[in-house]
Amino acid sequence: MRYYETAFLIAPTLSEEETEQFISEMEDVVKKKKGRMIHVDKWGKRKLAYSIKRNDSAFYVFFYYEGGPETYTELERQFKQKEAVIRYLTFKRDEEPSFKEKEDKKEKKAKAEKSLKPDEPDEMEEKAKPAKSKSTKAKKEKEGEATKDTKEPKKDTKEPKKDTKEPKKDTKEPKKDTKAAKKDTKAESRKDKKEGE
Amino acid sequence: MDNKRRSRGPKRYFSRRKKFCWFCKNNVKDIDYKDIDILRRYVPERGKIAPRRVTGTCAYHQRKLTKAIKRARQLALLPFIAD
Repeated sequence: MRYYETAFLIAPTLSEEETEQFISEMEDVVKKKKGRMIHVDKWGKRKLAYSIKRNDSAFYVFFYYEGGPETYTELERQFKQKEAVIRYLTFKRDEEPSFKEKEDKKEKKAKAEKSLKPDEPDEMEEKAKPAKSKSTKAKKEKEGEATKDTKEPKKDTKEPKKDTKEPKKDTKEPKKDTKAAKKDTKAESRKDKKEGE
Repeated sequence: MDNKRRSRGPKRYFSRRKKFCWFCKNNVKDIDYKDIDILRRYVPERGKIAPRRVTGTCAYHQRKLTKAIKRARQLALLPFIAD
């Protein structure tokens, strides 16, 4: 006994019911010839890469089964007799094909597609993160300014601008306030010094 | 050593990125002829199979790839010739 994989294309001239009927007939053929059907994969109608017997599309079906040589020869004999089968190919398979993984993948794909819509807020969050980092940068810059302020008290004129920025970043308000206060005190102290000089 | 090597031969103005085998990287054992999305990557416009020197696929996987592409062609999943 061996594992086989047979792919065949059914012409689109057959109606849906007829194709379904034909597929079930072929499954019966496999069973009659001591074959064990493992899986039937129906892709449905698909466009062909090139026309076969003047057909531009075909119904793709894949049979996965276990059986002897008589199973697939009988299948192919049936395919030859039916004109609706445009093309067929049989492959040997060394191992039993597992379909759980593939189905899992499909499910995952479907889930991923579904989750695309709720993902949008996540993107927003991602956008928000760099903004936060920017704010931290701004913080650092301000700190730098603060250090500069210690050197040059003339930059006191920038303080009102900082005040306008503060309400946007709610979480960091208290810290900035303290810093601003520090700056003020430092700047004032320096001013006092300069005036003293 | 590096300096000596560089002095030999023509000067290189940019370093090429090293190619790698996509299948080895992703631990693909068998290449299925039904994974057309993967096979398409190795079939440029004209429909020919891309050589190893272009894609960087290893010999083992290139053999499997050609087989898969040829099977896909027989089932009209991929074109023999495209223009």
